[in-house]
Amino acid sequence: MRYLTVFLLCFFFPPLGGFASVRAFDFLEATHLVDLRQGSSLSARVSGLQKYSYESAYGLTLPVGRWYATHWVDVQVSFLTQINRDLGVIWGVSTGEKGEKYAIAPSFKLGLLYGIRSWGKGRLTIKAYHVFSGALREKTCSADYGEIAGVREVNCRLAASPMAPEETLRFNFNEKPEDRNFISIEYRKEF
Amino acid sequence: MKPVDLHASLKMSLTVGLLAAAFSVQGQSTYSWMSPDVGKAWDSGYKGQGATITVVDDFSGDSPFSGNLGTGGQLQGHGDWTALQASMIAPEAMVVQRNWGSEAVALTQGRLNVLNMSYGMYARSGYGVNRISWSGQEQSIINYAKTGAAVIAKAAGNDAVAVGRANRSGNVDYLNLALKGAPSAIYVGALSSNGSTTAKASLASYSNYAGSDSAIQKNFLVVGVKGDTTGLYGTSFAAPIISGYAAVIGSKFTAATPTQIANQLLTTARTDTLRNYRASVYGRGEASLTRALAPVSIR
Repeated sequence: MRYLTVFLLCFFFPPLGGFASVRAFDFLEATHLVDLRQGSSLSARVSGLQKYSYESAYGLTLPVGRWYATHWVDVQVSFLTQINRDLGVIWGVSTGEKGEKYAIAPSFKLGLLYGIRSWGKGRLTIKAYHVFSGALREKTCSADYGEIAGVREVNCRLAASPMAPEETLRFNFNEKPEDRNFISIEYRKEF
Repeated sequence: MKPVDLHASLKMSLTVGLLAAAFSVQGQSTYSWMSPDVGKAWDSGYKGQGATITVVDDFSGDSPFSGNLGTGGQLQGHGDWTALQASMIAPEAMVVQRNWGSEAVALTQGRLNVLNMSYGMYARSGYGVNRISWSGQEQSIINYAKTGAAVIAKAAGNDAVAVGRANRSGNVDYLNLALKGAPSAIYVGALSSNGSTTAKASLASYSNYAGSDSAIQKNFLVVGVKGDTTGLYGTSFAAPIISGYAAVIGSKFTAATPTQIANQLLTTARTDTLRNYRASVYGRGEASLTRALAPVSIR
């Protein structure tokens, strides 16, 4: 969210002095929205758990899926700021999201788009960016197994599985965005 | 008072009945005679590793009979069947075949020990348990049960009487009586199917039941014995299921004692899957591996 705030300040407070206003104006002219979406593969992974539940040792339903619900699903926005005819800067932010037992961190995307006019009417375009932060991390739960094992730190989703309590912790989500390192090379030729 | 000589008076009795039946394999990992609970354990790769199941039984092969646990129709002895069944529930447990004898049963050090006893020791009713002169084998098992050194899964018997009561021939299973009140012993009765809340199970017609003695009731469990599927009937084939469950629970709770594991199975047993549940019939209820592995609460 803090990245988004910085970005908005750039947009809505450009006339802060002669030089700054000129730069802001140029920046706005050269910047284009290229992608706006809500949700991501990491969001989808978590939202699929929201109805998950299992029975306790004494048959009560433990609706652990509610810990994976959120009021705000991650929003990602990407821009392209054109530096010159062949070069642009790709940048963007995401808000992140969080539930009681997980969090997807806000992220910042930065990269380049470079186009090379080449032979004939062809054009080679190289696009690359890196996403900073944005990882999905899952919190642990405290499970009470009663007399047989006492209170143990566990993966919330796997506490009732046959796995040893400590073993379940290996399966806690700790994943970076799938597209954190992206590169594409495209060659387009008109006939 | 003169002690009763086991060798003269007690007869070992296998708790088994035989019938041939068609068999169907339900899936690749589990078999249709198993509770669906078992599949969940298998899916997670926990199959009883770290446990030793010692099956004390008849491995002489003198009286083979046919059945099919999903590995194809076979003709084999009582002990081979019970050991196979336990190893199918907990495939990664070490299963030791211990033929009946008079020497003490050895435990494996550093592992959870589970003893499967799909047999009874019968004599005329009327003796006090303390008058029985046990062989080294049974005495060691009784001691393990009383000291909590091993989980003891004991077939309840097939006389359709309360555990500890005389059957129609006037004989009592004194091994059942000797295990009464032992903290890590579980009597295992047979249901005619695996119960569920929508298809409740009943006690198999042949199975012994818990009876009115609360000390028996609190250590009595039932499980489904699908003889119609396997051709194997009797509480002999109920006990190995509990032995396997104990091994699977031990592979999750690696620091748990045998008594804790027995208690976990007993306290988490279900009553809502049984038709007309009464403690005098079903004891603590139908064993539930799923519940035995689950936490009491989580936050």
